[in-house]
Amino acid sequence: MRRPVAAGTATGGGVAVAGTGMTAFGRFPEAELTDLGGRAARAALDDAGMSPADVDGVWCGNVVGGGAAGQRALVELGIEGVPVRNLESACASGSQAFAEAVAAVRSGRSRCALVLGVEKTSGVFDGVIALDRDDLPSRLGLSLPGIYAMNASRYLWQYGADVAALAAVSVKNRRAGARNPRAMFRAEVSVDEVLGSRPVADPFTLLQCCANADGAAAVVLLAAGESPADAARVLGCGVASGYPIDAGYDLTRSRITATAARRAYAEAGIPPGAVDAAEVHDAFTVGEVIALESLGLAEPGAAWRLAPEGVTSAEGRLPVNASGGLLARGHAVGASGVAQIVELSRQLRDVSENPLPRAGVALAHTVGGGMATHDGIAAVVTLLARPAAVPAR
Amino acid sequence: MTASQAARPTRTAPALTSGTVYACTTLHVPLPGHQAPYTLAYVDLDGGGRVLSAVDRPVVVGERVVLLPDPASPAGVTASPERAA
Repeated sequence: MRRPVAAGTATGGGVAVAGTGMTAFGRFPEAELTDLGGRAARAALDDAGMSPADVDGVWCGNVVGGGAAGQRALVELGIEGVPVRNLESACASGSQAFAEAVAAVRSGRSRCALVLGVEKTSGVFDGVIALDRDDLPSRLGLSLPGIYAMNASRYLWQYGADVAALAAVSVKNRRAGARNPRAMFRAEVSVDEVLGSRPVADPFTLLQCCANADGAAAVVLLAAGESPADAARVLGCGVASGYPIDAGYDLTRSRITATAARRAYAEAGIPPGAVDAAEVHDAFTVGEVIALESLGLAEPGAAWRLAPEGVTSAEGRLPVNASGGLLARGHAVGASGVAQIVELSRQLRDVSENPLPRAGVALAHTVGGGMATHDGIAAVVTLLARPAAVPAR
Repeated sequence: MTASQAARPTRTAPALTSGTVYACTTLHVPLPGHQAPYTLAYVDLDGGGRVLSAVDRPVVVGERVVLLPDPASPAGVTASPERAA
């Protein structure tokens, strides 16, 4: 693999997450979108030791804010005149904003990029997310939980797995969330409580589904050489759009995820086996299981055993969603992808409340739904590393 | 062929089509305009192709179903387990 930019340029040493900022995620009906976004952005700039005047480009993920979220959120900071790109890819919005900003810094087009994910869902989504579409699945009543429930029904049948294994994903992620001050849910739950919560879409009960949240997350990207010495390095990103769920589509896999992952591993020049920890899109419990297999982090049909066996717990061999994931942190749709980067970057700098001292390379994954005829509209996979774990080229 | 194309009834389709449930769910929280609980399934048709269809009762993966013409459904058909016939 060749570097996208030759050594000796500003980014010859790669791109780093120079600063992070994040509000708590939760239900904040009184909070304005602009206030949430502004607070996260200011915290990220402070953490990076940069001022608003240093920012020369903004990438913002937002879904239900009604447009211009980036500009609106940054008025208070006095960020003016710089290009702002508002990006909507459903649950992958923040991740895709991050990937685009990385590319801009890597190419030298931006020196100091601010990536913001912000969402205010209170008052907009108060139940299950109904995709506002006129496609056939939506007209038949297939909700977003229903889409993932289809995956789950097939996965459990094909591999003879028990729904208790899916519940174990929620138990694990809620346990992690109990230690995360930014998480929406801070209480541990048991398998019985998960399975006993009210049914949403078989086999999912409520505690197997993430909750819509309000919140914001932001990161500042700089060339590694201009970043704090311990700042997490960006090894690579992969972005994909989706594939139709037609005859022969294997619902035990996420093809869109596999495509994004392939691109990320290629850009980073590392194999899946190099990944030590991951934040994956656990919007529903089965999402984590299918993501791990589609990302190459588990063999097909093997990932459902990982949570029950403790492999993916924070203390396990492959910690997954050690920040609590969407299931515990809450899903501030456009912000969740950036929140994953914030949490992993803090873990790789050893400043996290959910520490992962043995993780050198970490993976972030989101997939956005929005067309029920397809397996997603966007999937993004990002690979980060602590400086000492950056592979030699 | 997309799922929506597959589900579009054609004039040449036989009145009764059989298939096997590939994936399914019973929804307990309805989308607007629907009354919970209701069951949906991806059905792999015996003659090839896959359709998304409403099912008139809960089913399991691997179960045999027949697709009955249903002008009221956006898919033009509703599935029913063969065991119910």
